[in-house]
Amino acid sequence: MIEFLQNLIDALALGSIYALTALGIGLLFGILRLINFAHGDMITIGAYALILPSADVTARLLIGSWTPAAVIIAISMIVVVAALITDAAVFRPLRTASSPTLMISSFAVSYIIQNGILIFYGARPKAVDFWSGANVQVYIGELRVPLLQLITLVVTLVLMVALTLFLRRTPYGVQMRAAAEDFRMAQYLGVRGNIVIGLAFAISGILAAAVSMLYITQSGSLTNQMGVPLALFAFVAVVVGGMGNLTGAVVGGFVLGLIVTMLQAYLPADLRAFRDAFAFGVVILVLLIRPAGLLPARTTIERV
Amino acid sequence: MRAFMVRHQTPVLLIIILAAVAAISEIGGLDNLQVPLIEMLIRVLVVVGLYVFIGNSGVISFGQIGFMCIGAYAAGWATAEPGFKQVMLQGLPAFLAQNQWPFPVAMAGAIVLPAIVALLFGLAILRLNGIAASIATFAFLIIVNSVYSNWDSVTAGVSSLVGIPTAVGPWVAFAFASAGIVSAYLFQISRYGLMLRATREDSVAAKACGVHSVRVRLIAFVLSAALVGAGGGLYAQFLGILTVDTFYLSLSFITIAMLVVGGNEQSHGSRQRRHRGDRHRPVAALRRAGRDAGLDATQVAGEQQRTGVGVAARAYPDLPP
Repeated sequence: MIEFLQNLIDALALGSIYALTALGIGLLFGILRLINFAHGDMITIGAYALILPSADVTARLLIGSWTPAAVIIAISMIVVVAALITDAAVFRPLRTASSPTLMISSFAVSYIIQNGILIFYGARPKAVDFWSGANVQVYIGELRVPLLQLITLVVTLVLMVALTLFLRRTPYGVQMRAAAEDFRMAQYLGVRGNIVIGLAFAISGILAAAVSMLYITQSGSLTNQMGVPLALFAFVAVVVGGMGNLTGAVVGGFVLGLIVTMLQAYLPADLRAFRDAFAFGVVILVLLIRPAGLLPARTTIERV
Repeated sequence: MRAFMVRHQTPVLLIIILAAVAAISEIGGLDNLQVPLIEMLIRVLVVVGLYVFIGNSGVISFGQIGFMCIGAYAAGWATAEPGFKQVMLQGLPAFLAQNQWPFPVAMAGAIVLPAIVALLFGLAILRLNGIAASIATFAFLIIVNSVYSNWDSVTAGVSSLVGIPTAVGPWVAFAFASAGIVSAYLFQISRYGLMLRATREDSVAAKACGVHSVRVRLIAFVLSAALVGAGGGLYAQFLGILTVDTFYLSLSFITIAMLVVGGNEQSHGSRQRRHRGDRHRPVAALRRAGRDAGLDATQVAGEQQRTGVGVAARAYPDLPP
């Protein structure tokens, strides 16, 4: 029982990371129909922004050595600016482009960022010692929980509640929801498209910054492609949860975290290496049973 | 004869261009151009294979590179040194492990095995539409990668499969690329190709006209897998060494980028323009593959080559087909 609870907490922590990333991707998909593969590279940018640009193997912290509040604000600002730049430079000229064109453009952005990082920081993975104090274990009864996992859970909850309040209670949030439901109609009613989209990019930047800080504290290493698997899993989570529906993105993230962690824990030892194969087999099964995702959005139901 | 040439000018022209490319690589003094040109011809075959499914059905598939992996390993199993296979690949069946099969057998395996896998997998997932279908194919790519990089006794895991005779020269690659273009073209002008493009334009109307969308998609999916698998088989016997991670996300993305930037676009413009686009799509895909390999030829390092394609994709996102 204790072992199961332990696995459950692992699953929740992993699921939180996926859910936060999936929120950033789902937000942009809802409004722009953009599948933003470059979101993972926003996470990478956030992580690399912590250190001094150099080709050394052991990274020296620059921003990362400031006080936590300053680090959070600085990293969030940097990632938000990066996200807004990608919008202004790449996606704004493509507002009327079709979905595959947008997706390929986001691949292009992703390659440019990854290789840009390569130029300034070198190709070798870097070890980084960032907030390693958070990796201590906390005991809750017999349960042994890494403090970082609790922090991850709390941060996820706080960000999700804040985002929900923003979307429900503020005028800009209402405009964003309107734009997600029917972009053209919202524009006719006076919603300014570029502001809403810019806002969505900024929020996805904040979410990416949060993920980068949580993730780097846990993994302690930097590579120029570290964001890619996160974005891919999150993208799958968005589709499994239900495209164009933020609750679905969060549910999808947690479901994926649960599947991956439980397979890792309970698969027989000689099949464990094939964990990802089983996990994505389950993903295909879920899609076959519910093609529109676990929580389909009303607006994505196909009409004739 | 003339009427035939005019009517079918697209594939004829493409094959002439490819022949010119293959001929260039035979010119003396250009030895270091030969490798990128052969690779370009192989990529043409792969991208044409992608086009058969993605271009005609409008469903973006990330998974076709998984078929390239399956095809490449099938060819590798058939032709690698028996000594190597008996030591490293003990899980292989005896008829593969104890013999070294000739090139045609290897290519047959590289075509048939992916086609069979595509038939079984396609039966399961092709009733999904749009983004759900894309994700399912994406999941397929990850499953193939996960299985091939961990099934040590058959694929040598993450270490390489070596000792494959390098039998592919420019004319062999040319022959397969041309055959790929011809079969893609024949499929596209066949009734099944027409029905498939009808489902792409308007799936409900196509269904109302009696088109069985799963069936026509399945035909394209299997043909696409066979062509991409053949590309994989050629690639294995061109390099002589195989690693699983070659056939993963970056190759999948870059080939889809070649296809889309070259002109997979379909959703805007008049119907007239769409028709015009259709005819030139393979040309554009070819142009893209050529530009990519061209960057290769000027000895740009792999990573920068990708940045180049990235910048190109950014610069010409809406290149008219």
